[in-house]
Amino acid sequence: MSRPVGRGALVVFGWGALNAVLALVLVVYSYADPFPLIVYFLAVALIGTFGVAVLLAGRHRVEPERLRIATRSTSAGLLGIAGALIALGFVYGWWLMLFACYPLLLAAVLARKERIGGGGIAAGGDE
Amino acid sequence: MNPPPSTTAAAAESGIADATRHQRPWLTTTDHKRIAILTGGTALVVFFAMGVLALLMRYQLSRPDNHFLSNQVYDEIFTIHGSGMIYLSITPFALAIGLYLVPLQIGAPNVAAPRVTMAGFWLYLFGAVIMLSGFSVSTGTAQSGWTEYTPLSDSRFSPGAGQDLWIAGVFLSTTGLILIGGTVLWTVLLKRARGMTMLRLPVLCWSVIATNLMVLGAFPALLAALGLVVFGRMVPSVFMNNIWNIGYQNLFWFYAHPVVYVMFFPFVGAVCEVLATFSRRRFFGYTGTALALLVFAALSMSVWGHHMFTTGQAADDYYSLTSISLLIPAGIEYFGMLGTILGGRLVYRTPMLFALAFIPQFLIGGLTGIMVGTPVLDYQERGSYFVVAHFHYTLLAGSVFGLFAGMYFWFPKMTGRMLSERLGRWHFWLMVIGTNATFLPMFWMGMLGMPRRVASYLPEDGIGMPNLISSCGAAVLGIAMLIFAVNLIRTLRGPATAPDDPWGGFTLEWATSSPPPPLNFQGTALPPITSYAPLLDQRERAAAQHGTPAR
Repeated sequence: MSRPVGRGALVVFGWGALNAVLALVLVVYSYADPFPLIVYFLAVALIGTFGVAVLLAGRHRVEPERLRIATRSTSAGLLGIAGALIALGFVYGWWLMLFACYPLLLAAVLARKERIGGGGIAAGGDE
Repeated sequence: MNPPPSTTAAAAESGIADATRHQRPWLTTTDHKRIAILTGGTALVVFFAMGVLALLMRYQLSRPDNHFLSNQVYDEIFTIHGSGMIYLSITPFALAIGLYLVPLQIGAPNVAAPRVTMAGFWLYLFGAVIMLSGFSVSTGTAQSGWTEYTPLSDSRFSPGAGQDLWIAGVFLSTTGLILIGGTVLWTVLLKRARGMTMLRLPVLCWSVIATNLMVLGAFPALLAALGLVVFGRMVPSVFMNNIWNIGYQNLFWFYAHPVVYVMFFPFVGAVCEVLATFSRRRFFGYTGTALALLVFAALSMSVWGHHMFTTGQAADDYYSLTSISLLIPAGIEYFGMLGTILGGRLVYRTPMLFALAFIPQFLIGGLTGIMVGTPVLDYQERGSYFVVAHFHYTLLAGSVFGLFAGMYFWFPKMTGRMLSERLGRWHFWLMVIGTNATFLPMFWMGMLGMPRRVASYLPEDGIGMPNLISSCGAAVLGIAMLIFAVNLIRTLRGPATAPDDPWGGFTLEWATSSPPPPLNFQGTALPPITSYAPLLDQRERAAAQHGTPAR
């Protein structure tokens, strides 16, 4: 069963459009200095991309939605460790970043096992 | 393949049982409430630590020509105080509020992509540890202020690992916060319960939407700015060309102005909920406030250049125009808050006291913000204590009061325990006295020309008295925070006796148990969602049936 979706995406697009208008007004004042304009328009593009993702995700949703909840988040912790190693690699030497491969690999392996496949809980709605 | 509708109920039961059985320890949890408590708890610990640094600074400035701290240590302390409060405390706490409450208020069982959210928490936590570990290196931690302006922060002027650890820590924690903000926004846009339309979202949810739109739009600019500093630290000649220094400021302030609103909007949302609940009426001007929040957030993305007026390389007219325009949506929000309490039957519990104090105190911060958003006034006040007073009125007198309003309000929901009302009142009154005694004299100091970020001043400068008053105020604030800590610890060690809805709340989180079960509403039927105050609707319907007035 399909249902009207996209009101959430509309909020994102509307907000992005308001920012686009403000960025366009900035063009009048800052045409000689393109850097602020580039920064602002890139941010608008980012918001627009998120809006498209929300729209597509909403359209592909079907009723009744099955909620698949991961039972644990060990992979998230490993991702955090990898992130910390990469950050410390910047401080103490790039070689440290190589060690980030191990938690990343382990996180990738664990990520698949952490989700339960079944149980459906009706959730979500956009009317 | 999806199960046919007839099997949904059974499947739901089995899913609930599975999820409950699989409820994991805190550090591997996928429950949005636990992730939010971990994030908010970490932010609170950082808040206390940064408060101690503030006390050290105020002690140093309490009298002229004081040598309690060396210049270098003072520079390190104000840098980490500002950085810690903004990157590691108030911003994460603001996002944690949304993470905890949004799924509950929209009737969802969990946040979307809880493991991504948890990864966000870990990145934030490791980032915090890495940034603060700068104190342990021999050259000291970062000393260039929370803005880390170039070329001051490049490797010529800020050598050593402390500066690098600061950059790595902020990069990591900001990445984590983007992940948390993104998943919460995704949840509120796509995971709402049946009947929860966009215009039935509670005001807090709208404030969280506006907040997280800013997170997604503005936070990546900080990552880009930090990337530029990293490059500049490897190739210092980059910052000999001023275009990159101004480029850095554009990138930095494109993040750093919206982040002020990220640190503010969730607390405005919390204050709105508290005001409505303790005024015993639904929030006044709901649609206007929701719209105002979105417009406010959009405008806040366009004002960053007002921090760069004195560089002479910002379009003053534009940034001044957009900055002053902020008054319109802010006025609508204030109108909504005042309209709610003016027609209400007010109940003066601790959350309400904090919410009421938020209104005039934030007004001082907001109006002085308009002053420094005006070029001619900004040229006068730039880099002075006037600016310090202004942003502490927005962040401490505004946001932190909103934070405590929310903390006292939702603490029973989160823990099943009521914070002591008596200690809460002591905490409140000392906070009011301490906040105003600390920051009101700073306007005076600024007008007298005291520059910010100086470790000392001379007796003949004539700013000894306001500094002394300010330091005494800071001591009162410290006592207030101690009382809060005692209240928190005492309550957490006590029995969980709070009822599910101790305040007569209006929104869905009050319809479930305190604390809520892992999937939020398992075993509890969601009440019909007929407006942004569904529980009030329910009470009004019941009262109409029985011919009694609704509470």
